[in-house]
Amino acid sequence: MSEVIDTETCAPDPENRSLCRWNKDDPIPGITTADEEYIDETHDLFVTVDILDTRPRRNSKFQINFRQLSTGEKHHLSHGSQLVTVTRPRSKRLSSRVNVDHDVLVDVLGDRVALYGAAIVNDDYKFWSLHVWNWHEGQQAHVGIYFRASFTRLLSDLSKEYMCRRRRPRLYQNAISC
Amino acid sequence: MRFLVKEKLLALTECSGIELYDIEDLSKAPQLQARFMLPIHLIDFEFQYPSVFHDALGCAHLMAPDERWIWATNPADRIICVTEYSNWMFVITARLFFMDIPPSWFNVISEEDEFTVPWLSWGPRHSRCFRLPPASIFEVGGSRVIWVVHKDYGSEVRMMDFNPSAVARGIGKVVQEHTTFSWHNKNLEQYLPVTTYLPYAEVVIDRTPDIFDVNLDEEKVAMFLDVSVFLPVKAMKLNISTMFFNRMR
Repeated sequence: MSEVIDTETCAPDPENRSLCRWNKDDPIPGITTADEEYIDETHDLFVTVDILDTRPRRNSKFQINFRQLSTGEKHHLSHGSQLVTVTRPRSKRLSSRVNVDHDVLVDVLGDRVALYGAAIVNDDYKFWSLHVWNWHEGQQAHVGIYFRASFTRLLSDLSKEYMCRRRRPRLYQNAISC
Repeated sequence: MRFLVKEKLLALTECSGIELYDIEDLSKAPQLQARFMLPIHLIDFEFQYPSVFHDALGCAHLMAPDERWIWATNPADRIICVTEYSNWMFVITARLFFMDIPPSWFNVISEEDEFTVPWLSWGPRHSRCFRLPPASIFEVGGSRVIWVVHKDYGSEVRMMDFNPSAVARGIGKVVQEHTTFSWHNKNLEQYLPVTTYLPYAEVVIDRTPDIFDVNLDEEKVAMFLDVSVFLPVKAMKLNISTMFFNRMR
């Protein structure tokens, strides 16, 4: 059973279902977002992440905002914005002159939110941590710290296998491993 | 990084691995379960699979008033796609992430590498690798991939179902044979043969009008037809069961 819908002539549904209309030059249907954003139009949810502290010598802080897609206001299921900190090992004090970039990924499923936050130092190495919590309740999981060399600069010098082994799976022991 | 289900999280790593985390207990930090290595080093790759399913919590309100959902995909029968640009696609059965991983699969060479599962342990039998034709479009839904290739005469639509039940029932053309692609990695100066054999059933519809986008869920596929440059786009809604039963070949 197939049904062809003419998007030029189709009338609004009497049941008040919202019908979308696409014109040829519009973007492809569906919503795409940057990695640091998440949209769930079926739950009127728009998640954004702000990087709060970019000073090289400070821990990286990310603020996660849960808004209604329709209004931009705080989502009624959330408890306001929530903070996540990617902590650096004390032994890894950085010069104030180093360049620190940030990388963040966010995903949501139901009442759970996952956030990966990373501080990338001079494209050489990064500190990162993974956080999963219930955004309806605002409770955040314990997190561990993980430090490793970045793949980018060292790729020419080291084999892929060697680099993978450097990613020692010692994270999430509530301790710093370097 | 994507949720697989509420209790499991998948992450792609820079060394071309898929990490599986157990996140069932939120009072504990995510627990790394395994790192499944891909056979080649991918530069820019991502997950392609929808988070919303008929059986997912909180999705009932998505059902239209005149609609009745028949199918709910078993989470283990779903597929996870990993694509690089739009050139390569690895279709991976989610069953891999729900199973008890045999200890013999893990890399036992190094204690530092105790979570790593080499490609040859898991990959060939739990995945199917495809090289995507230029300018093709695809969508993933449930246990299926739909794939549109533009031809001189319009479009060719190919739908593949990796659900073991569909394969066992022989709905469509069943593909069990191995497929092998040679992968050339210029940086590492390697030629790697990548062999995979996850079975699937397939139907093909050729000579459709030009399709410029497609959406897929567990029961329906919506194709957006490029009828004419002067006319608005038409959307075609199709029941998947109809595609399979009427277009078997």
